[in-house]
Amino acid sequence: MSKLPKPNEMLRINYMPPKTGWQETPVDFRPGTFLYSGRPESLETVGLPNPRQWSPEDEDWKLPENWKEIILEGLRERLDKFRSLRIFMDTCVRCGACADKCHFYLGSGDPKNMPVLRAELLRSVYRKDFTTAGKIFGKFAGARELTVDVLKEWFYYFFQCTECRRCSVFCPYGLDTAEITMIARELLNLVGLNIDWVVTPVANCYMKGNHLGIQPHGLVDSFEMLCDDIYDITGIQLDISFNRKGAEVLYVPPSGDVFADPGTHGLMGQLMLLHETGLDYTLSTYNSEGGNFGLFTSHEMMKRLNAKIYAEAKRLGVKWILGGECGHMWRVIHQYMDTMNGPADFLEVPKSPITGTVFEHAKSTKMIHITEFTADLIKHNKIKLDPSRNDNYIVTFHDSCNPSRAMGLLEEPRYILKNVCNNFYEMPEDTIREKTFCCGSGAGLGADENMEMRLRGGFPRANAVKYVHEKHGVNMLACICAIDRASLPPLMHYWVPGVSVCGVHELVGNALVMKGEKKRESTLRFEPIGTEEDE
Amino acid sequence: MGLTFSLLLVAALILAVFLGVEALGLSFLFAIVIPYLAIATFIIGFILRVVKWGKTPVPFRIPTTCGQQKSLPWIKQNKIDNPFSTAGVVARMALEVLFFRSLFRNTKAELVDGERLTYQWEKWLWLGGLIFHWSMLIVVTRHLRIFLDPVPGFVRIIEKFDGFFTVDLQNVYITGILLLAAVTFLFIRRVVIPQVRYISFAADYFPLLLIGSIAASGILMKYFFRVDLVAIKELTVGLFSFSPVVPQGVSALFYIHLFLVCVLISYIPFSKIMHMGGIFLSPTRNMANNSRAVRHINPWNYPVKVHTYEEYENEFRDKMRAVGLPLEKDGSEKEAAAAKE
Amino acid sequence: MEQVLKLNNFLAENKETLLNRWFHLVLEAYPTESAKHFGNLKSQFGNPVGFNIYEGLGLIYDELLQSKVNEENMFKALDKILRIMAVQNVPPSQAVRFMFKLKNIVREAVKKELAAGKLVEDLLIFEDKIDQTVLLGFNIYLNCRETIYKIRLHEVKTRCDMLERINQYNN
Repeated sequence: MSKLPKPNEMLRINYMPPKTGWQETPVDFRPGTFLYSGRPESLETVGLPNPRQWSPEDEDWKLPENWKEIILEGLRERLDKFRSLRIFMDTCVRCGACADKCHFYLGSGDPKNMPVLRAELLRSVYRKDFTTAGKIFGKFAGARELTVDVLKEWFYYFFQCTECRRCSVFCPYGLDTAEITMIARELLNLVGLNIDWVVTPVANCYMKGNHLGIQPHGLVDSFEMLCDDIYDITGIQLDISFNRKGAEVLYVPPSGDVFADPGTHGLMGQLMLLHETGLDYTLSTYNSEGGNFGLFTSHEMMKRLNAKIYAEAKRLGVKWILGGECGHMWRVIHQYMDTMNGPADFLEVPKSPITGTVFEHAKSTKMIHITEFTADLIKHNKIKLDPSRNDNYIVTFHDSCNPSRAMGLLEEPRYILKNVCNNFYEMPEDTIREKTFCCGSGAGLGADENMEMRLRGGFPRANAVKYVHEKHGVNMLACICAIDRASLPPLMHYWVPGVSVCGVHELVGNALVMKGEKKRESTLRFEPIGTEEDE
Repeated sequence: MGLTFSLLLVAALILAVFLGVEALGLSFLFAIVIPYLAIATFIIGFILRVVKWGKTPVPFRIPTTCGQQKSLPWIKQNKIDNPFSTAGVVARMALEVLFFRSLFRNTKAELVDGERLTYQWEKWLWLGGLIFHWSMLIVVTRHLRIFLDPVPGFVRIIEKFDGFFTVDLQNVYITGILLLAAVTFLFIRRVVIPQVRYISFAADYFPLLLIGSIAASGILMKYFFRVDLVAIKELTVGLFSFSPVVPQGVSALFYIHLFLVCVLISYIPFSKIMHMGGIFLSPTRNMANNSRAVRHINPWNYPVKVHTYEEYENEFRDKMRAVGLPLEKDGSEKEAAAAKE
Repeated sequence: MEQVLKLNNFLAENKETLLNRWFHLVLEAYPTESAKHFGNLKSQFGNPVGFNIYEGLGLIYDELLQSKVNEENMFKALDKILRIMAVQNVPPSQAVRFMFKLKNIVREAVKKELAAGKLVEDLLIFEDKIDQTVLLGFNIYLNCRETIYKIRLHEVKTRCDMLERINQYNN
């Protein structure tokens, strides 16, 4: 590695002359860095305003005539509803501590990706219309008139934030850009500005129970295909049930895992584990989605989609709910579900029938995370594991943003990983746990048209993976998030070829020694066990 | 632009009071009217702002968690960075307010070249901020001497420690010097670091320049152009006992100091300096991460339109029946029964 | 041959100074406030862009000092830098420009010698190597862009397959 310059050797630099101030620099929509607009049919399905054909590249966004009024009124309403918003608008001192914490800023160098400026996009308008100082001093107090250009800027940059909350960890006042982005997106939605990658999954989820819009029979068939694969690998036929009344547990995985690799492998691992423990559980087709893209639309939409979980649990008469490996899903379940759609007084405090453990920390929401469930099983020696089956893998763990910064689920997956594989290495400290770097595709930004932006935003994460790849030969990046499983593979393909991505429970499924299984010859990916290299 | 504007503004303020007192003899205005107005603005504005915050509901429990959650008993919880109880929240807030814990996170040592340890520049921000705020607190507390008669014991103790160093047989209050140094650092940092300069505007430079000028005028009065302390105390005690007098022999320097303080405190409620109140109410820091154990109530929670199971089954009943899924209502019961036979 | 060594010796001796000057010239392509951040090399993980660019430049510099450039090593070094620029909206002509900046720096550094008619031959050989590197750079840049589109294509294809499967169920 080359030597670094000592400060005193730094030479005088002639940087480019300063451009215009940020308030006067309009947005340039370049292909590869923005997202396509929401399909009007999807908006109509869920009753969102102003459905129409439009594109961010167009000059005319076909806004309603009184769009400004709608936005400002919406902002006023939200200022009265969310203390978070008021505090976050009023208290920022622009100290700059957050500036270099955003993965999009680190990867792109675009100053408006500094969290402080992302928030200022909204804050400047707030000052202009809602504060005395802004009304009197205008630009000197950092106030700015809401114009179409400002609105376009909002669209560009608030759909360029993955709501990962990393900046919030470093802010001395805990200012959370995710919260600001969520509310800004609510405002944009009021005039029909949204992206298809969010609003179509929302519409699908609303009508059909999952983001992909899979109908009940398709869902049953897809799970059966996974069971067939499990049979081929283990010789064991799983018996899974849907919409079954009287089951003890309702199990809710994210639907992304049903259809797309490598999520499917992780889901197979979970199904195998649940079979092996003999847990009396059922899946639901009506509520076949743990994820909730409502979170990326508005608080109301989040609540509308989330309502299905408790409704279905009540209808089926289960005792408690088990959730799969998904990042933003757990933000909703941990921090919003009970408040929005509770109280879940028809359920019981989750208790593992296998170990007898009562999950007191979930005694009100009555839903636990699959890694909490599995870690408890392993701790009590209730499942037999052969970690050597994962010896082909040198594993590292990517903390997903929401479970780490909106929940604190840090040790459970690590405990599992250390028990199911023999080679585990952590990435550098400043890039994991609460300081984890986002995959760059969260909060609805994972569309292919946004690929360049995703690769920029994912670079800090990839850079840390590359480090352990080169240092320890890491070839498998484990995670507990469906969006990660969809977005990290292309990220690795571009930045760190030779590293695959898996769910934590894929490795559990590999290592799990099942009663009556045949000799395992392949992993859940149908790759041979015990060979040198997997590519 | 913001910088020039702020500089001119502070200069104009200083000039105004100087001319006002020296040329126009408006001592009464600057000694009594303006201080009363400023204090009233500060108190009323501050209260109104905090009430406005306090009255706004907290619909959701959204702490930012910075450590391991409380889950299984054998997994060690990080009780401060991810508090489950009120005690944990108090500890977290105390560390935040007293020691700027989150800012400190920036100062993590990092390995470069795999062996050499270096620190990021943010360490200086944390240190500068900490010195600035603590010095400010102590300096303000020390000033109680001028308002209160007799001087409270704790003020005397603070003075004793603060004035530990003597130069030319005179006590030098270290915090005054530190305050000026820290505010200068914060100002220079804002101007010199391009990222920070880019995000700054007048409202960021102005308070720093104001506080800098206040500190400088204070130091000048204390060490270089001694002012008549007895007269000043007469003025301040008069103000606080609501029997104001304008004493003779108070220098213009003091009026500058006083006026800038008045500007500062009346500016507080309308500015980012309100962060001193805001930090206590920040929902990502002042809430326990126990949302799955204790239900948080949203006061404006309202019913929303949902797609019910019934509607779902109505749409897909036939398809569900075809793959043997249990149904609530078998719309075509007879046909189904017939088909079975 | 003796002369070549002379320029190389000079470049090897002054590596740190010249490399730093080069690095900061490269960063001029970014807005001021970002350039400053990318230029702060104290943090390998907090500043991946700056760090990788600096590392890449160092490797290129070393490779250019070899009597014969190893194409594989040069490829790796260039890749570190161009892979980043390829996703940052930098057009190819702009992306490889940083190599020409090294020419300027070196010419500037040996200005006196050149005026005295020394080192000219060395310099020509050295600049030839730079030109070769630029050509290689175009390949790498294109390769990166192709990879991006392959990834996109793969995503679109996966989604089409998925939709097709879903549509089959729904009909």
